[in-house]
Amino acid sequence: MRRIGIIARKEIRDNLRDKRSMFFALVYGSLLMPALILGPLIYSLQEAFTEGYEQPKKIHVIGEERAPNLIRHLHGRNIDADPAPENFREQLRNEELDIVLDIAEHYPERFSSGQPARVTLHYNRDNGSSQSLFWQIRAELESYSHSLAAQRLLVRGHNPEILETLELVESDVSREEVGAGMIATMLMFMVTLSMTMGGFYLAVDTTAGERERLSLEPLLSLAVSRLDIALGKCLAIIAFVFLAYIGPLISTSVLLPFIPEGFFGNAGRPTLTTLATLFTVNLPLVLMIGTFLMAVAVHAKSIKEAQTQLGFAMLVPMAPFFIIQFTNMDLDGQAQLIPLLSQYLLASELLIDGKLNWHNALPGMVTTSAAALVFFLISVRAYKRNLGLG
Amino acid sequence: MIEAQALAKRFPQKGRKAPLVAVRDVSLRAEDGNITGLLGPNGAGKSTTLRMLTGLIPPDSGSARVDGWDIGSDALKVRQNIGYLPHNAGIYPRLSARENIVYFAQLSGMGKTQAEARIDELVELLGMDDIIDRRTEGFSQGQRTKVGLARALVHEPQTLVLDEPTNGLDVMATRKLRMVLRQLRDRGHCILVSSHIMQDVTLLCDQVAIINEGVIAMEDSVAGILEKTGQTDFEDAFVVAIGESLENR
Repeated sequence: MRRIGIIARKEIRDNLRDKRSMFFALVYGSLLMPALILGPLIYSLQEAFTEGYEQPKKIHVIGEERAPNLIRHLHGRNIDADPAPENFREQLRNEELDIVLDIAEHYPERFSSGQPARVTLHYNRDNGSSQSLFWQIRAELESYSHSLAAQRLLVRGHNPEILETLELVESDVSREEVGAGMIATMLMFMVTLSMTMGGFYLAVDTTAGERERLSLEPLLSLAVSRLDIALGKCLAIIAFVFLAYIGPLISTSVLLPFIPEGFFGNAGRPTLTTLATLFTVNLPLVLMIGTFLMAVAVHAKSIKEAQTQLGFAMLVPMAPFFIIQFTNMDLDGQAQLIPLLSQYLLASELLIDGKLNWHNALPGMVTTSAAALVFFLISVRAYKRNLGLG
Repeated sequence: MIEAQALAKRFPQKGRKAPLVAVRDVSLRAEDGNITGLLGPNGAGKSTTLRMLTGLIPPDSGSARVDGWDIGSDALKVRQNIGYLPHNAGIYPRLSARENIVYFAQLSGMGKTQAEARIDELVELLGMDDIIDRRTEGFSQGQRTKVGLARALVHEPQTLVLDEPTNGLDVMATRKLRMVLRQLRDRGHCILVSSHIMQDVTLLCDQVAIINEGVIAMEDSVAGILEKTGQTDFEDAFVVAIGESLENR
């Protein structure tokens, strides 16, 4: 045990002096990734949940004076009208304007005579805000048209319901939990990438690096068992992976209060207890990613070879993210047993429900720990074979 | 003491059916209180022989004992009693020379205080005062060899196995190293040194084993080899011993 500790301490101290290892263990996953991934999300959600509901919308109108009632109706819906410039088409294309409501010259006459009066909505489908405003204004115009038509029928002594052939009732039974599920997937993606990058350079340095700088042979010539050497190095890698693991969790718990409550729907904003449970559930993942990195790097003959192989191998921890995001696979039952994928699913369950069914969690934790053991044994086997010395 | 009997080692070769025979038949004896040289051209099997003797790689056949311990069944005991300096031994560049040596001392079972005291002795013995607390990144080959040698000596092993230790050393460092090795010999240590430099062997070794194509071609003292080959110059004696012609001088 003493020798394992000596090796682990040496590898940690050695790599604490390596700026690259430290950057990826402490800065990349803890600060950079949350800033790059959660930052824009928070910004856009703040806009959608704050500005979207409270700030008045501004549209530009041609012929405002021809439809004062319509303009008043829109104003009552928090939509203000400004006169449209002459070159509005060009400005729409350049995304300087979002939408222009064009009230036809014949509008007053046709409106008075009870004929359809034309209004045109000019917008730019390539511009996201223009398109969303288009749907909102269109809905308002339809509602205005519908209520006027009803009034006209009433005046003529007809029941407006005669025009309603269907009575459509919308009944949404979802728990409005999309936001919580999305945060769970993003958080797992960040955590996985951060752990992989956090342990990457240490795994390369302690294995292939040791081989390349020819310090492996003197080390193997000591009276230390190969198992102790592999364990010591593995512990050091796992320590760095662990650092890179807790970083994004802490950053996320700091950033979560900035995400509007409404985004999480019925699930509500994850509490510290939820995040602490997530931390525990993912601990086997720390072991698995650490041992996985070591098992790949230990077989490389040079630092360059290890970096290339790990570059490809790093796609494996990313796979569940893409499976969940871009496929429609049935992820119940057996999927809970697949290491990594099971942690993604558990994170979703945890953040949506706010609690975890440990009966569901344990099988995934066991299979992930078993995978970690297999990867570790692969490294031990490599050391027992002297990594091709000779 | 090292005793080897008919050691052999082959390595598989990529893309070839026939394995590479690195060591065919090596039997040698290195006594305590002696410096024994393993002399041979490049690719003769020197490093592979030393790796087998230190228990790093197992022989395909043959056997060897180091201080009475079998290199196969007692590999850990063998490594405990040996100080090994591999060819071009690497050191950890982000650690200081002292940290490099302490790491090996602790892994060899020494406490930190005991290791520090021993390092003070080695610093004096190897003349490392100016480099001991510097990070080893950018060290010259000579400075790296000194650190490697200190690492090999720190746990005071009875047997020293050094693979081309003068490689990259300048004249003064080489002379200093020879002096250190003679001191260790006089203290009763068994020292096995591989080399392909005639001068190192003639000035340093009490006993020489000449190896060529994985086989010990001749084993004797320097004077004995000169006598057996009928030569007056040791380089000529070496050429004759490995079965080559003396025409290309």
